Amino acid sequence: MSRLGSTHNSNSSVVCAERLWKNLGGRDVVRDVSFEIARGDMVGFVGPNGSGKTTTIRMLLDILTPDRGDVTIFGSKMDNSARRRIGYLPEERGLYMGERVIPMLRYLAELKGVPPNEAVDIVEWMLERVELAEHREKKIGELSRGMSQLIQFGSAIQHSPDFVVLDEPFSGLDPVNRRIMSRIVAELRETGTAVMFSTHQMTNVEELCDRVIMINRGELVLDGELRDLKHQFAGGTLILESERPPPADLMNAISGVEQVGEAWRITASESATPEQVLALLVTEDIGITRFEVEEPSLEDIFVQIVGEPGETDE
Amino acid sequence: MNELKQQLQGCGIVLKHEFNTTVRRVSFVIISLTPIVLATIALAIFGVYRLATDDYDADATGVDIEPRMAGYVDRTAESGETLFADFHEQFGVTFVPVEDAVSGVVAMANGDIDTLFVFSPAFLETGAVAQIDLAASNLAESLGFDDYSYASELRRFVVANLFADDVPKDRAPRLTVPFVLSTHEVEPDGTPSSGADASDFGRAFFYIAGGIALLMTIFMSSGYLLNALSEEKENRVMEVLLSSVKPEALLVGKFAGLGAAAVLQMTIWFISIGLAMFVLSVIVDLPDGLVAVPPIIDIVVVAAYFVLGYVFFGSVTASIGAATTTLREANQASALITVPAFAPLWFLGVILPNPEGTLARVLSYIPVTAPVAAMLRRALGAMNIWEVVLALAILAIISILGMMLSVRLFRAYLLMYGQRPSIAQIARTVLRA
Repeated sequence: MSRLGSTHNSNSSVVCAERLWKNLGGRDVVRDVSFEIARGDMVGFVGPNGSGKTTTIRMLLDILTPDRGDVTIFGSKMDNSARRRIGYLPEERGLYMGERVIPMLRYLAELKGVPPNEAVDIVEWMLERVELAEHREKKIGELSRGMSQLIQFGSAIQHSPDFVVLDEPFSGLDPVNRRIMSRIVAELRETGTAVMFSTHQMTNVEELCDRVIMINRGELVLDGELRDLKHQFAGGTLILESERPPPADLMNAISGVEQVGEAWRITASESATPEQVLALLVTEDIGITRFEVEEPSLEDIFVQIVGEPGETDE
Repeated sequence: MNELKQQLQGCGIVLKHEFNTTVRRVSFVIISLTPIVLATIALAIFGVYRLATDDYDADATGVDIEPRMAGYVDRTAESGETLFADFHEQFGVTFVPVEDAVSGVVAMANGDIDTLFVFSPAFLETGAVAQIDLAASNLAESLGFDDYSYASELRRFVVANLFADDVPKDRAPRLTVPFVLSTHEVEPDGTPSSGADASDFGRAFFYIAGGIALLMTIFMSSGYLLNALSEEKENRVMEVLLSSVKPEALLVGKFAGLGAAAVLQMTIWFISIGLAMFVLSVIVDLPDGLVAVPPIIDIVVVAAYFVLGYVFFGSVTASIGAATTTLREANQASALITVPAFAPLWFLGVILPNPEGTLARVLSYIPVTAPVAAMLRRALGAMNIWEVVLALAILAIISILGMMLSVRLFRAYLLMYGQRPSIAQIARTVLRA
């Protein structure tokens, strides 16, 4: 775990969680979770359903009070100034169904400290960004689920927050709306906004995030740069292209060989490193033209750490 | 300082939103304007009725009486002496001589007379008089809605005709109207009593009307608060709001916004009632106290009960909204507080004859029953101002505690979607508070 416990308050720190505990309904839903997110971080907050992600987020945002531990946000305790610098798209989506789009967004913008005379322009700008300007006069209840989700996403970022928390932002979105949201999230990254991106869909995290924090059963089990983690969890599977097939048994360094098109997927035995396997293959003189260590997907890492899905306990 | 300013700003934004949302509700508009519409309709009907019946007579007391025509057949004349020849006008009823019963029925059928009396030839011996009416032609008539008793006028008509010539002229009026009674109360020292005058009548009217308006407004506003919280909990808006403002600011903003809407509603009601009374006073004579502006102390008392009653019932309903999972469940649970609120009305039989009694006093100090009990007692001229101050102080303390508790429950249970906290859990939360 590369960054576990590195809970220092650097100047660029956006949020710092220190040893958070939360008991709900007689059960420890979050246990001793610590991490820090800095300015410009694009963090995937992953874990199986019921692992404590949403409870952790609610504690970060002062919606729930931790039983133990502390949260520091923008260098101090949560206050109204800090609240105004945060954007939040909760997993449990909700808007006033009978309200029209513009008044709804204006209300949420003003709650975030946007002056009333600026709120109208900001709302219009946001509607353009999420490509829903033509629906500005509609009631929320008249919009499709995807549209209202984009509206709520817009409400989370329209006030240009420094820290955005998106809880399962893509669930229920069609590919077109998903692309719109991905584009805007990428733009946030360019502006230095810290984004915490909670999901159990690993592909989204791989596309958008640099860093992954993983929790399981309320405990933090992984925290690191995605690139480092992939490297850390790689090693078992090797891709080989050669003029001749590799031997099935290479001094017990290989536990399996499988042909995949023109290449061979070699499973190294637990005791052998990729370097050792390569050295042995070279001695076999099979005419190696390509040799690389196959990086695991985040989903592979997730399954490796968490186990099979279905363990929901939140 | 900046933190407080931002907190107040958050409150203000929530207040504005809740106020705007509430006053735009169709139910709010309908209920707020209902008294105006009803008063306008009632006054219009009354005005049209007056225009259509402007030939009303007025008797000696100045009270308008609808003129009626009663035919009579005097069969006593068959024995040689005509008994009923004069005194035809009797307090709005005109007795019209008719030839015989057949002619009388024809006159009734033509609408010339409303009823027919037939005096028996042996009237002096038996006193027998037959009244003949047309059979009912519609449901209202058959149910007796249009019945009018001519007994009093008939008695005067008979007495006047039989005895007027036999008594001195100056005493003749007392045959038909023996006396006109007026009552007066005095204090033990003999001075005229200050109680039960027109201003007391006006004050009673103010407290009854104000009390009804106050209770309706309190419960409607509490209901809106309950609905808003339950809906926000059900449709998950709550979490978005709580990421922007503190729960305390959110709750206070909602309270204030809905309270402002309630004040607007009460103002509309009071103005419409006042205007209606004024217009009515132009049309008919009303007791002076009924149309006068109530004393400032009474206005302050009603306003204080409104504010504190709203905070008390609002904080309880907010707690219910936080601790229940659906709007339906919340509405059912809120009956636990609204039903006891009207308990003083269950004991009207005890409170009305003895508004200073122990039961009436106790109910005035219990926060749940205090507003209704106080309005009732003040309407009856009971509950002096020090008692009011004490009752309001108790209500204020309990309301503040209730508000603090509701914030605690609000924070603890608002995000527990689909999970109803047990009584034990709520008790623990309350104790921790």
